[in-house]
Amino acid sequence: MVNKESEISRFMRKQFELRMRNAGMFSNVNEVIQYLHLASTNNFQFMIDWRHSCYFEEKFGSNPWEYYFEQCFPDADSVESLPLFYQLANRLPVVKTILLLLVNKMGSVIHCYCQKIDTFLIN
Amino acid sequence: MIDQFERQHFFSQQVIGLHLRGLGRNHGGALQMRKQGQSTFGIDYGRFFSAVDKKLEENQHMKLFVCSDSQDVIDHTVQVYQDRVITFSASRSAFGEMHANHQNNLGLDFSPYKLGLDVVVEAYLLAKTDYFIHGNSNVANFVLCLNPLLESTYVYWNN
Repeated sequence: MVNKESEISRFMRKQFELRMRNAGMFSNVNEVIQYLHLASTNNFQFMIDWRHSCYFEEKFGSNPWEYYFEQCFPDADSVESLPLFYQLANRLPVVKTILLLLVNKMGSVIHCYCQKIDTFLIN
Repeated sequence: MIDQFERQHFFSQQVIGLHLRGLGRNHGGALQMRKQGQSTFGIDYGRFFSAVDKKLEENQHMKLFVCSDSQDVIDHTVQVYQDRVITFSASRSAFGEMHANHQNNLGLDFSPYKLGLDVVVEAYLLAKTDYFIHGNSNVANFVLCLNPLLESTYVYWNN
């Protein structure tokens, strides 16, 4: 069982590592975008580590994220993964909550995302 | 690469972007959604092509930029829309879903680096089209993040 309060206090001052999940490119890229939102509201940084990725090809370097994108926090340097509770929280209902907040701020532009998520949840 | 493709294919004409995954995709609610639609060879072409046809009724001169992980999808779309179709030279298998180790792709050899590059380039190009037609996909989510003002049809809405 994770002690949520201690995890939160640890989380607020740390730099973390976000590893690629066993999924495709934009499933993982969209996760990075979501973590950017969380990082901006919770004041943490993370480095993106796709070493164990289906896109790894040795001659292009060790971290496939950097084949295609730049690190979002170039100074972040950590081998500690994001705390477990945050990883567990990083699921569809959280995405939906964030998107609904964005809908309130931005109107119909984001509305299609919520339609998609609703359809997904119904199915 | 992206700018060169855009100059070559997008500048002189209005372009519909179409993102349609192949049979290899079986996550993200794909199986349930296929049951709802008018499948041809297991792909819900009817729903996507209806959206394309509706847009073409508004402007019959539009081109169609098609992105898929499946060569079968590309071939079928070319059969239907012929010279209207534009594609990027991405690595594809008949089956699709090449980032996963599917039995259907056994014996095929892809550059992992190019697989990633292809989908990034295609997503950026889709974001540069004039109208976007898509289903449930993280690629589509990213395209709409890149270009939030892009007009689009989500084909499973209201079904």
